[in-house]
Amino acid sequence: MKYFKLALVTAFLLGCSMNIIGCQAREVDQTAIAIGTAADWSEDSFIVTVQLAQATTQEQSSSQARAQSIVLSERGQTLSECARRMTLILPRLPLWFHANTLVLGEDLAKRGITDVIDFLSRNINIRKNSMLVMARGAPAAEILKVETPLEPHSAVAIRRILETQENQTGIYVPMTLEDFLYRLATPGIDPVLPQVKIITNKDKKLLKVDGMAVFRGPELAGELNETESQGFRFLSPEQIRGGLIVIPAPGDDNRYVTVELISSQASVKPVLEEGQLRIMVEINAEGNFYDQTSPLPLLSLENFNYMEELTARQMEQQIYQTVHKTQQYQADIFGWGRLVNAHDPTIWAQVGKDWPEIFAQLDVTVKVNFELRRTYLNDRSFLIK
Amino acid sequence: MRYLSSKGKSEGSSDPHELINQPITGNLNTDQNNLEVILQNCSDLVLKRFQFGNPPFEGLLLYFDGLVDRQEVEFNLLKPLMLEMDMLRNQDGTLQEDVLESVRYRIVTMAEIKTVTDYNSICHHISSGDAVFLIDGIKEALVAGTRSWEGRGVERPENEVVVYGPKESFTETVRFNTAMIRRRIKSANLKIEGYIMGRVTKTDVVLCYISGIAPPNLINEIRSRLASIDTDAVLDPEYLQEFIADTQNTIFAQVEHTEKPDRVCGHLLEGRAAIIVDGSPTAMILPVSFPQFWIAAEDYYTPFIPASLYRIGRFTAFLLALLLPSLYVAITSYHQEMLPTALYLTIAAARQGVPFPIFVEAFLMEATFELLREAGLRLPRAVGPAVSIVGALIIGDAAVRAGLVSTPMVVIVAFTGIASFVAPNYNAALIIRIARFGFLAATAALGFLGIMVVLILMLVRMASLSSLGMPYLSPIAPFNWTQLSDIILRRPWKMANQRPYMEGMENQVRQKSGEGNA
Repeated sequence: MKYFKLALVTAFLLGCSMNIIGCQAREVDQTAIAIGTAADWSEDSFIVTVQLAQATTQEQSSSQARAQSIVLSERGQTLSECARRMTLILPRLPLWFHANTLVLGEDLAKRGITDVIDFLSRNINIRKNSMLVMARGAPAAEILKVETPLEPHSAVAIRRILETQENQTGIYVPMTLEDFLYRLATPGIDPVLPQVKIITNKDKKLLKVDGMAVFRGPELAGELNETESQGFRFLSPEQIRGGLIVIPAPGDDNRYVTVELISSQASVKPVLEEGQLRIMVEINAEGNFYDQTSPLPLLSLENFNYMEELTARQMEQQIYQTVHKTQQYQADIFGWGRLVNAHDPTIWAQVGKDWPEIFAQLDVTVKVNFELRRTYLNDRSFLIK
Repeated sequence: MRYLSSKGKSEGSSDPHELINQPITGNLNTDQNNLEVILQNCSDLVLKRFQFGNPPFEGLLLYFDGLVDRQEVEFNLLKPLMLEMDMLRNQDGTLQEDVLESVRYRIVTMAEIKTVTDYNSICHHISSGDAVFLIDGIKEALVAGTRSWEGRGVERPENEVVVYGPKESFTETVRFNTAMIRRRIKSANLKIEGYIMGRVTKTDVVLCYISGIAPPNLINEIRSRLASIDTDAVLDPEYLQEFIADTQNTIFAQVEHTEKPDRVCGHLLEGRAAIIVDGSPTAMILPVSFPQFWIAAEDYYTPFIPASLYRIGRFTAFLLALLLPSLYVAITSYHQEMLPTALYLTIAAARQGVPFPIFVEAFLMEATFELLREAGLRLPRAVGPAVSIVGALIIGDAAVRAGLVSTPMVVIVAFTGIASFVAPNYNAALIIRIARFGFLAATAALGFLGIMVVLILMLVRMASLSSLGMPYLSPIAPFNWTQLSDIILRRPWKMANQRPYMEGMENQVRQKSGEGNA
């Protein structure tokens, strides 16, 4: 009797919890997997585009050469409406949480991203570690329609490209939705996004990551080119690893030396001198001598020091270029305002209100200490007999 | 002469059920009649009337054919009696006064011999394989220990297979079994208490323990619980288990069964007790705790580093065998965001066209697997391979091709099956097999929440159980770090200075630590 009562109570409690958990079983074969999402603004309404992965079995995928992805768009007054309206054309329930690449349209960004931020931050189906990029020169929907080489889904391709280039060429800093929202919400730091463009190669459309879009708050302020994007990467507060720096070879300005960046750590200090706010940047970086196009024997002690110096100067120059560009845009993508706030809140209380203007006038000193470490066991080029 | 005692009714007799409790009359004819009535319709009974001595005494020998060593009866009992008649006389040639004494101490050349006084004892002894010998005019009967029957020899264990370590297993004869234990523990402190249980079967039951190691209160508790059992038959320790166990309404095994004498010895040396029942090759060990089921005897015969790693692997396999199907169902039908995209796409592709929801698929496959396993156990050896072929082909291949189940589910079920075979103890495997379906059902309704709910309920239930007063989850709850280290890992013998603690244990020190073992 005691057990019977216990069982009854347990069953009742379990029954109650059935209502509150809120999630229902979704059968795999009644769902569609979204792997990429794009948001556009055109003709006074939002367009949400979704890239759906088509699940194919082993036999199918080998016979059809590539797994297909389906790109669908819907129009609506809010992004959620657009997303829900997908069910009008799709016989299956789209699952959004696998879509970890979000492409924002250029028109949407120009209009200001205030409209979409609420959706992006509130919706539980959007992963906060989704990669966020901006489409430049084409609607975001078109980006998802491009067939990328090797990777069947362009949304996945964008993500892979951003991840791979970071170690290999080291130009762009990937932005997750979480970073982006943080930059938007925190005073003294502005958002920045890598841009994706469509390029044409032998009549075949390809995707390329090209430049970074700079925002001033929610508004699109401008863009950085490759050099400036790399300068932005040098200024990351975290230690960065990987990337290439090409410098002129000692003794021959038309030949070049590739230096591989092993690690680089920037430390930024705001300094108040005679009532004037200054930013002191010191970067400690080290790298390897990767290759040379010059036939001269470069690896002497003087040349070594010279190349270190040259690399440091080049990095400094790139950073100055980036800083000047962003100062023009009045967009503090480096988070120096936040740094000032953390350093001394009383100063921030004075400058915080007009930070974009003050940022534009900031005096910035950059000092790079670069050290060449290894030469991969070759001390001379093969050209020397 | 043999008499087949199939006389049916016997003259002047009363009810055999009353007769059996009466004492031996001393009149051999009456006794023979009475015994024939009591043992009527027993075609295997051998009754031999004969004469011995000079002047001749009437004697009656009875035993059950097949239970006694016929050679021994003939050469050590009948032959001396009938030939050595001089021994009945004193030196001066007079007849000795007490014939029974003379027969017992001078004539019969057998070591195990005693006297009984009533029919009931006679019946019990001949049923146990002794030969009983009555002499006219004497109210006592001689019982000669001639037990010898065809039994199975000592063979390799069938269910607890080991790579290293002893490969003997118990047989159906309780004496052989106790001998196997006694041979391993050559100590006067190894106590083997005998009981006769079962009103009809009169089965020999022995309780083994090592006095001085096993807590006295534990042994007393077992004794009193055994004494309280009133049943008509005991054919296997399990018959007793259900009377002895603290709780009945549970799927969790309350005792450990083993067929290996070395495992029994290991447990005895840790202060536990074992119950062995004549006629069953399984010993029952008590008290037990749940983590103990995951310890294989072999752990102690392999070096401690690999043994510890295997143990960790075994615990992992336990969790997998318990939860893997439910985890798969929960993730694929509730929490698809937990899977890597590529894996999810693979599963989605494999599930295209499968008509059942994942839960039904999982349930069907698990049930099929259990059926196959059960069939494999029960089938005659000759048919066994046929079933495995049918199982592998139909379940593994044809069902997938027909689109009834998806390939990932077959993989999951196969993996779960393999993981559940890792359990070194059949009882433990049983627990998993049953609980798995509970988890599956809860998952179908509530997803991960269901898994957690059942897991918590299961833990609560386990924590509330006890085996002869020992908490079922010890040493996890109540927590005991020194013991736990020998459950999760296999402690090297040098470091295992203390026996596992039990309530009331007096002698916990196994070995002195220090110089001697440095």
